[in-house]
Amino acid sequence: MRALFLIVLVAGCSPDVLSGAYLCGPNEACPETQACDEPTNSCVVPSRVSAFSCPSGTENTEPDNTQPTGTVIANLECVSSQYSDAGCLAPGDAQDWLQFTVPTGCPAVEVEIRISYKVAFEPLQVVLHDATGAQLATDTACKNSDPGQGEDVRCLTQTIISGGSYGIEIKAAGGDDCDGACQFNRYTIAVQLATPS
Amino acid sequence: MRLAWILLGSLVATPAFAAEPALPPPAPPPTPTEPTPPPALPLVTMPGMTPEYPPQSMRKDIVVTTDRDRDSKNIAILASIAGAGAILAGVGVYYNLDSQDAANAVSPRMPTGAAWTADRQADYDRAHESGVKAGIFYGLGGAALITATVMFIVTAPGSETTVIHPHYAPTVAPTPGGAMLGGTWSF
Repeated sequence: MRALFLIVLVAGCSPDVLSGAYLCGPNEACPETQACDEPTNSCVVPSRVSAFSCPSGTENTEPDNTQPTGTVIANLECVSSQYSDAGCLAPGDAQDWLQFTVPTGCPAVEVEIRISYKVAFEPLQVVLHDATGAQLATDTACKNSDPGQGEDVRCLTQTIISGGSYGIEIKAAGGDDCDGACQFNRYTIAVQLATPS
Repeated sequence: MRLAWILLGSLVATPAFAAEPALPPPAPPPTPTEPTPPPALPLVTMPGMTPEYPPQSMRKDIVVTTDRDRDSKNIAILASIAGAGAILAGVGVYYNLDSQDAANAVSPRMPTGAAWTADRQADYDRAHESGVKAGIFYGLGGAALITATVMFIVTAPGSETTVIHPHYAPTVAPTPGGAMLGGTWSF
């Protein structure tokens, strides 16, 4: 019994982190004995690590690096259902753009944008532009946000004009980019028009 | 008291006394290395008694072995070292348990779905650091305890052996109608 106690004491000194037990933290942080597998966003043994790649279908809209070439969100109504899409900023891809037009005849309307992305890689931000390209608003912390595990989430709510055209820019927020080694990310963006409360 | 010794001697030493005339004279030392016999004791003289025989050496020495006590300084030093060792080992146990606690906090049995955060990294580092500290304090405590044990053995005061060479002298004292036999012993 005493020997067992001693074994338990000694054995308890070293953390034993299961491969894949954790998702990568900011700056691809992982336990010392593991590394970040960029496709799965998981901390695994170094021999199983693979390089970052965008999920299938997320790059079909490229090139979308300018407002005019941005992906069009169609069929929005004054109070719309939520548009949701997965996207990816691959290495070397500075930004993605979406564009939409508000239906005419809406008495009052606002756009609600929500973006979630992996905390392991470079943080992202959302900027709302008007038809001229002028910046209208940037994201802020979400109220009652419940990001997924290993993800961060940002929100943008802005009153807009009925019949107007707008652009949504998704770009790197800067910082936490592994000293330049993880300047990429995967994200999910949700856009919805609603009546201001 | 002396009278009691005399009476006791008369009872116990009577056979020796009776056999005394048959005793062979003391043999010369067989080798030069044999210790020289103790000097002859003076004749026993007691009031009213007449010494008849000179003191005789008894055949068997009395060996008395006495264990010495540790002095208080030695006990204090040993207790201090052992106590320090116990305290150091106790500190080692504290760090060991702290290390174990931190290690358990970051050692899940299955995927957690949670990100590796700074807090978890802090627990991970604490597990390592406390483990190292535990090892150091275990080592120091163990060394102190071993030192105390070795010193306990090395500084054992040992025992003192005293060899007593008893002698006796028979006495004969005339009494009305007879005589009283007795003996005195010296060491």
